[in-house]
Amino acid sequence: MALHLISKSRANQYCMKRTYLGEFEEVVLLTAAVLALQDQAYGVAITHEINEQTGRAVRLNQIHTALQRLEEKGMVSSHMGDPTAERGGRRKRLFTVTAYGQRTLQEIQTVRTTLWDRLLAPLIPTLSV
Amino acid sequence: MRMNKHPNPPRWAQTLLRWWAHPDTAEEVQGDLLELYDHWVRTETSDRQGRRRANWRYSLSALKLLRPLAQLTHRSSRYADYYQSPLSLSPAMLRNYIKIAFRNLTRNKVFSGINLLGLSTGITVCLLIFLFIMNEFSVDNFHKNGKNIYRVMRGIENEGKETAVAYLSGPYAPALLNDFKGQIAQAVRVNPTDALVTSEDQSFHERKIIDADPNFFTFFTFPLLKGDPATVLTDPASVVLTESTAKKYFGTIDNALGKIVKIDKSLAVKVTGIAQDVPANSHLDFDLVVPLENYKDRSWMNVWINNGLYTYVQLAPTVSEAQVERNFPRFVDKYMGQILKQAGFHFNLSLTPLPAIYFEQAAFDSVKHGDKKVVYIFLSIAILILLVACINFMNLSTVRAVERSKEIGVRKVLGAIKGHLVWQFIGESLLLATFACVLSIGMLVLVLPFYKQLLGYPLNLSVYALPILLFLLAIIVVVGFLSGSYPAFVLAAFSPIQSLKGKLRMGRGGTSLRQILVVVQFSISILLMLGTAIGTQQMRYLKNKQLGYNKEQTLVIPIDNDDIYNFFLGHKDELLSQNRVEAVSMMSGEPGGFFDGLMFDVEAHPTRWKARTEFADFDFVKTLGLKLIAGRDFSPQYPTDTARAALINRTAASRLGWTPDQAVGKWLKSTLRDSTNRIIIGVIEDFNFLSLKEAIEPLVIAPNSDRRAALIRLRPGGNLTATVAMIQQLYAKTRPAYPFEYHFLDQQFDQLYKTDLRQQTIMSVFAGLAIFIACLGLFGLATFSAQQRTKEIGVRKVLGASVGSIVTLLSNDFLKPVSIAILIASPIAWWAMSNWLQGFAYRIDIEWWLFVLIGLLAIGIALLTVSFQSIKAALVNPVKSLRSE
Repeated sequence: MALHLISKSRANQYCMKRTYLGEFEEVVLLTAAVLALQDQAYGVAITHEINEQTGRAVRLNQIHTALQRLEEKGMVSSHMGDPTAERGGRRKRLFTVTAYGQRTLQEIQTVRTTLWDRLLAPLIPTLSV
Repeated sequence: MRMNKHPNPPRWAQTLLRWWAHPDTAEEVQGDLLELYDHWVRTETSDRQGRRRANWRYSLSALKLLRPLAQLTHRSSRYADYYQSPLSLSPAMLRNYIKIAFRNLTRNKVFSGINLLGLSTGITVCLLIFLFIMNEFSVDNFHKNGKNIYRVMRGIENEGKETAVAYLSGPYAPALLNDFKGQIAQAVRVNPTDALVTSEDQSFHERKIIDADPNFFTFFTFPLLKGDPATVLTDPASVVLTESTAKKYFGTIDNALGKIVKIDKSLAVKVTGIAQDVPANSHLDFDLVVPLENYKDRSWMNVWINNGLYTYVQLAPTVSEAQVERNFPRFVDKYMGQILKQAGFHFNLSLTPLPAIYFEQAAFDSVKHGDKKVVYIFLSIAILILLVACINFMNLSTVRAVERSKEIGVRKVLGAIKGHLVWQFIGESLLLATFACVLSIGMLVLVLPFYKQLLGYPLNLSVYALPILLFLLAIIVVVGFLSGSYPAFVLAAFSPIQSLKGKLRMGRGGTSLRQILVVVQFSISILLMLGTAIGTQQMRYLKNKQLGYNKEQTLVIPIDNDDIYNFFLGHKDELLSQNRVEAVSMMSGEPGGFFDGLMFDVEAHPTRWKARTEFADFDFVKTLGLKLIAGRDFSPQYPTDTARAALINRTAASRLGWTPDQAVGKWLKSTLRDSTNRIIIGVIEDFNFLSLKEAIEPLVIAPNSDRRAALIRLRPGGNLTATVAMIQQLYAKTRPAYPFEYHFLDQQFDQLYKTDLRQQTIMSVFAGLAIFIACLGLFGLATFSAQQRTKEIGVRKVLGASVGSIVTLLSNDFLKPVSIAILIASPIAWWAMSNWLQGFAYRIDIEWWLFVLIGLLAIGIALLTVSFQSIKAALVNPVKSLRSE
C-alpha cells in the first residue's frame, strides 16, 4: 500500500503528462535501450533490429516519429554522432534512454511480471507472445 | 550487366527531402535513408530490378518523411532556454494595427483625403482603360469554333505594296471546299449589304443585312432565340431577324415568327428564326440574315475576278494555317490564271484568323475594326497614371512617417522587430488601396455613361464583373506593395532611441528620393500634356486644311437604290432649275469616300500603271470647284467624251513623267473597264480626295455609268433646311419606296477623323487627370513642408522677412523638380509625337513655343498648388507659430 502511494507520487513528480507508452513506442524504447549498450541506437539500426526481432515490416518514418515522441516525453535523449561516408557525410542521431525512460520500462516489466505470477497455471508456451 | 558500385537514390526524392524534411531532423533523416538505401540495394538480388525496387522504397520513404509545413523549433532537450517571439498575428495585435491605421487616417484628414482621392482617381482611370482593352480583345471570342475559323483574304500586289481585300467572289467557297477536302471542314460566304425591307405596310431602309450560306448559324455562334440553327436558312425564301429588328417590325418576337417580309419590294421571305441581338464585340454586325441562294445569278456570285463577299473557312482541327496557305498559289493559278494574266493583276490568297480580323485595320472591307496601336497607347497611359498615383501615395506616406516616429519607437521598445513593422505598414497601404478600390468602383459607375459616349460604343459592366474584380484584386496587391514598401522600409528602419527623443528628421536621402519621385510624376504629366497638345494641333490642322475642293454647302446623297438613282437620272435638270442649286453631279466616289484602284495601259509606257479612278458625269469638276490647269473639262459639246476622254490630276501627270500641258492629248486605257483608248483632255489641280493621312495619289476621272453617290452643291446663303426640304419634295414626287438620305460633305470629312478626334478627347481627359493627381501630391508635400517649417517661418518673420520672400523660399523647393521634369519630358514627347505624325501625309511641324507654353503651364499649375500652402504659412502671425508647445 505504501509502496503504491510512493510510486504514484513519483510518477506525478517526473511527468506532468500521462506516462502512457503505446505498444509500438514500448518496443522502440526497448530496442533503443538494447542498442544503446553498443552505442548503436539510431534510426536505421533500430529499424533493422525490430525487423529482425519481431518480423514486422516497420518503416523508417514510423521509427522516426516514435523516437521523436519518446524524446518529447523525455524517455530518450539524443546527440549527434560522427559523420560517416556511407551516409553521404551526414551524422547519426544517437539515442540513449533517460533514467525516466528506464524506469518506465521497468515499471511496465514489473506490472507484467506481477500479472504473470498471479497466473497460477502458466499458459501453454505456444500461446505466449 | 554490372551495377555501379555506389548506386544513388533518385535525385528528385533527395531534393524533395532536402527541401521539405522536418528541419529539426533533416540531417539524420537524410543520412538514415541513404544508409537504408544501401542496405536495400545490398540485400536485394543485385539485378536491375532490385535497384529499381530500392529506388521505389527510397522514394516512398522520402515522401512519407516530408514535413513541408514544419517550422524549425528548438528541441527543449537541447535548448533549455527557449525564447518565443511575440506573435504579431495574434487577434489582439491585429485589432491594434487596424485601430491605429484608422486613427491615423482620421487624424490627418487632408493627407488621407489626398491619398485616397489620388489613388482612387488613378485606379478609376485604369479601370476605364482596362474595360476598353478588355472590350477590344474580346471581339469575336464567343464563337465556339473560333479557334479554327479564318477569313480568306485576297492580296493585290502593286508597286511593292500589298493591299488586303476581304471581298472574294462566289465561286471561291465551293472550289476551296472541293480542292482542300479534309483540310477545310466548312466554308460560309457572307455578303454585307443594305436593302429596303417591307413588313406589313411599313418600309425600312436596312443597312445591316447579311446574305449568307445556310450554314451561317452553325458556322458562327450567334445564338438563336427561335428556330433551329441548322435549318433556319435552308429554304431560300426564309429570313432570320434579330430580336430588336423583330420587335421593330412586329412588336414581339412570337408575333414575328412565320410572317412574310419583302426585300427590295420583290423578294418575299418568311421569318423562320429570331437571333439574339449581335453583341458589340463582333466584327460582323447584322439585323437581318437572308439566304445567299436568292442572289445566285448575280455576277459577283459567278465571275471569279469580281469583288463580292467575305468567305470564311473552318479548318479541320489538326490542320494549320500554313498548310493550307501553301497550296493557295496553285489554287489561284488553276481558276484564275488566264484572267489574271490578261488583266495584269496578281492575287495572293491568305488566311486571317478570326480573332485577328478585328485588328486587321489595313484590310479593305466594311466590318468593324479596332486599332492595336491605340490599345497599346491606352495601356501605357493607364500604367503611367497608376504610377503617378502610386508615387503620391509613397511620398505622402513617407512624409507622414515623421509624425509616426513615436509610435514606431514605442513599438520597437515593446519588442516589435523590423519585420512586424514592415508588415504593419504594408498592411496599412493594402487597406488604403482596398478603400481606394471601393471608391473607384463608385466613381466608375458615375463616369461610365460619359465614357461610353466618349468611346462611342456600349460597355456591358456585368460581363466584365469577374475580370474587374480580379483586376481590382491585382491592383490592391500591386499598389499596396509597390506604394507601401518604400515607406514601410524607411519607417521600420528608424532607430527607437532617436524616434522616441523626437529628434527624427528625414535624412537627405529621403528628400532627394522624394524629389526624384516628383520629377517622375511631373515628367509623366507633362509628357501626356504635350502629347495631347500636339495631337490636338494636328487634328485642327487637318480639319482646317485647304483640301483643294469645295466642301461647304454640298449635300452627299448615297446612291444605293433604284429610286434615288432614277431620280437623279431623270430629274437632274429639274434640280438644276431651282435657283438655290448650283451644280449636281453623279459619281462613283465622293471625296473622302471610296476610289477604285485600276490598272491602265498608258501611251509610251511599256508597263501597266495603277491609279485611283473616279467615274463621274460631266459636272464633276464644276460641282467640286476643282481647278483646271491644262486642257478642258468634259463637255456635252463633245459627245465622244463619254467613251473617249479622261481627266487626270497633277500627281498623275507627274508620275507619268509629263508636265500638265504635255499630258493633254496622250491616251490611256483601263485594262478592266475600257474598250477603247481614252484621250487625256485636261489636267486638274491636286485635291485631297482621300483621308489626309494619305498622300495624294494619281487620279483618273473618266465618264462611266458607275454611280454610287450624288453631290448637290448649293448656292451660298439662304435657308439650308428649306432647300433640303425642297429637294426632298422633288424626290417625293417620284413616289419612291426608299427614304431620301443625305449628309453634308464637310460632315463626311469629319467622319474620317472621328476615331482620331474621339481618342484625342479621351487622351486630353486622361492627361488632365494625370496632372490633377500629380498636383494633389504636390499639394500634400507643400502642406507637409509648411507644417514642418512653421517655426522657421516664424523666426524668419520676426527677423524681418517679407511675405513675398517666404513664399518664394517655400515655392522654390518645388519648382526645381518641375523644371527638371520639363527638361526630361520635352525631348521624349518630341520624339514620340514625331513618330506619331509620321502616320499622316499632311502634318504640322512641332514648334518650340508649344514646349515653352506647356512648360510654363506646368510651372504655373505647380506654383498655384504650392503657393496656396506657402502663402498661408507666410501669413501666419509669428506669435502664434512660435508660441506653440
